[in-house]
Amino acid sequence: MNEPVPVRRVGDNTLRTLTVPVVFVPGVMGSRLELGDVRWDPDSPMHMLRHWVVASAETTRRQLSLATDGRVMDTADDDVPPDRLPRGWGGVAWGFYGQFLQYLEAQRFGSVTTPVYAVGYDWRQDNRTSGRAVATRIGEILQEQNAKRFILVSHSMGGLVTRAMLKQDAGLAAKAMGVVHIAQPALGAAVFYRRMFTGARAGPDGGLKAAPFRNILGTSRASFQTILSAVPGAMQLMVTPQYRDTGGKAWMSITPFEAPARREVEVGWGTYLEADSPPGILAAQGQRHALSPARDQDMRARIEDARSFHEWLGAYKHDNTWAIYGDGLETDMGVGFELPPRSSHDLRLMMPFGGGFGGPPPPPTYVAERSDGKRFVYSDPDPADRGLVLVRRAEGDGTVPAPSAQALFPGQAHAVAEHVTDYEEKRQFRVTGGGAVHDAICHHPECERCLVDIMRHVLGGPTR
Amino acid sequence: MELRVIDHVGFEAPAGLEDATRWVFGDESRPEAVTVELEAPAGRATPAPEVIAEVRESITAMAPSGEILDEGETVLDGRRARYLAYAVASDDAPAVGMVVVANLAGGDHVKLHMQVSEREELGTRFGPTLASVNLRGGPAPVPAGPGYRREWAGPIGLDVPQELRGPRSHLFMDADDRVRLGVTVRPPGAPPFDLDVALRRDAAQAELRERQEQAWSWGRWVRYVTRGIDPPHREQAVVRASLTVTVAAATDERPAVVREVEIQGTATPERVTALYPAFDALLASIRPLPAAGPSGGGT
Repeated sequence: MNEPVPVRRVGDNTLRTLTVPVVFVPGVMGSRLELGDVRWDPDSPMHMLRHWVVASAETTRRQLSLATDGRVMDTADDDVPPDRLPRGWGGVAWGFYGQFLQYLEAQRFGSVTTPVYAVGYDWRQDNRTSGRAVATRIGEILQEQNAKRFILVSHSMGGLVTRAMLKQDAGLAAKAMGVVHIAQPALGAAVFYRRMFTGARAGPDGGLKAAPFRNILGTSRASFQTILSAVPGAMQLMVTPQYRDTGGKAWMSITPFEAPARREVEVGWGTYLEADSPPGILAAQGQRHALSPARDQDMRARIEDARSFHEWLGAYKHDNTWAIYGDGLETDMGVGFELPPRSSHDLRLMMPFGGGFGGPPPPPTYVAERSDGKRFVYSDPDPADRGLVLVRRAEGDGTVPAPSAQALFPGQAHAVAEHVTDYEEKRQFRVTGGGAVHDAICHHPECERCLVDIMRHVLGGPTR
Repeated sequence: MELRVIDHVGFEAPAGLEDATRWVFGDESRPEAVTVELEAPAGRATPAPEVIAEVRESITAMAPSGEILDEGETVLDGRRARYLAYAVASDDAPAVGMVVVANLAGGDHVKLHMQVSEREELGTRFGPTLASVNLRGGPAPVPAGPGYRREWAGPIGLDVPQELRGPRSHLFMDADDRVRLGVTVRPPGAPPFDLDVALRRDAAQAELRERQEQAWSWGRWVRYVTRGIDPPHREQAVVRASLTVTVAAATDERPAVVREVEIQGTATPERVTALYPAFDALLASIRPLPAAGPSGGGT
């Protein structure tokens, strides 16, 4: 049981309220940043269109490069209450987190005051670097509030940042009364690997419109990789070697055309850099989707950074940690590859239909028949997806597969229940339904209820 | 040497580095903007239809309520070009835009993006701009007329509405983006660039080594190497300068008019030998140009 917050009496009956700041740390791309003369500002559609959506991948990469100074914004438009700006509310995307912050702020915990702070961070940086920046800010917050302890709430990649922070700073970790990670991709997200081959697609990534401008990371293999080559923080969302699909199964499989036996791949960090792609992510120089040598080199460095980060972080978590994750939504759980033939001799050109009425001719289509009798149709002999087959099931929050989100407390998937939950035993909670979608889960009613219940528990009061 | 001007501050584009400026005419206070983007890295020669397809995909997948209004072929300075018009509904700031892409003589593409708030304004405001484009930087084939001024975006000349200010930052880099050097002129009245804040921020993220600095009456520079705190401890050379350039001397009636200028550069350790001389040359070339045109970019 956590130690309750001592309530000090002054005189006979006067209660002096104690202050325990609640610090919220957002996910990747959820912090509004000034990057030289542009901004990463999902709250400004006009700015995002002008500087990001219509820009080329190379321009996006240059703008995101760490060679450009980054600073979390401290101003906001009229939606953000002005008196909340000193608490960092302008530093996080209001469209994603505004409702959630207001909900948290409206909660009351008896005699304990819980001012809600948002701590944005430069999500381009290595998550250890971001962790140190968040630690500095929390130190300032404790001083501002004359508080000794705080409660930490993270969303998505904010979980990696805050775990890195707490692991690096034992003094600060000792002041954390409770840590709640929401939708943390603790072992990465398979969708991230998949986009290394497909980019963000309107089909399987169709949920993007629910979180506009959140995923401006390239819509093709080369553009996604080009942009990610500049962003160590985001690259740390890559699937780690500890990730397994549901039931402990391998999450990647490859079936070569020439010898059509499905081979499960045991993925390590080195796998991503293998010369054969897949499983390597980089197309060989000279191939259609190859990056320039400089960007290829950068991507290798980013994989090395991600390996370094995850090997250092390991399975660390703060002693007073809880996790809430979303489930039941169609999510990339892994990938399969039905590789196209290595030799063009195995491809047969199919005569295209259409195009006879003045329109452009349709692209050539090729057919190949595998020795196991399976027939494949290609619109291009060197398709971008290398025969990628989506492995998607309703076992995650649309972005993070449940086995990754559950990794801090393997096997725990408790339903949210008011009044009766023993939060010392039960550490991990599963919420479902459309509202559990990754980008919106923070203000899912069950998530909010669960979070507030945990906070009551941490603060030593009744759960309701 | 190519002379650049930003708001009465002149400087010479660093020799040996490519121009990587993103030419945005317009600022955040206005819904209108014209952006010119040149193919980068140079030499890829991406066909215009591919560039348009990428834009279409981005708007379709990323923008809330994004809608493609029209798409087809047009002509830009006598060259075949592709265009795409879009609308994005938003309570706060609805946007309508058109992207025009043409491949230049060498194969690389240029992309023009025009943005307004109302659909009807697209043709009236930017039709004259499109007609005025000269892809080789010469005079306008069809001048846009009153209310527009001639501007340059790298090698391209175009007429833009008078109200749209040019970029206040110019960026130069080598082909691999291992060396970067940028110049920013702050808006009139803005405080000087605070080198110490930047130094503190860098020091919070990395170990600073080999620091050198120099100060004089109207400026100061500092150069150092950052070494990452975390493995694999990546290193980077950094140069920063903060300058106060007097563009009009004080008179009895008014104080001196100054512009605050920032120079920032980075290089990987193996390219530091390219960064320092380029920085020195750029710094030496900074000078006031009181007779230059109105505020904004210009070459």
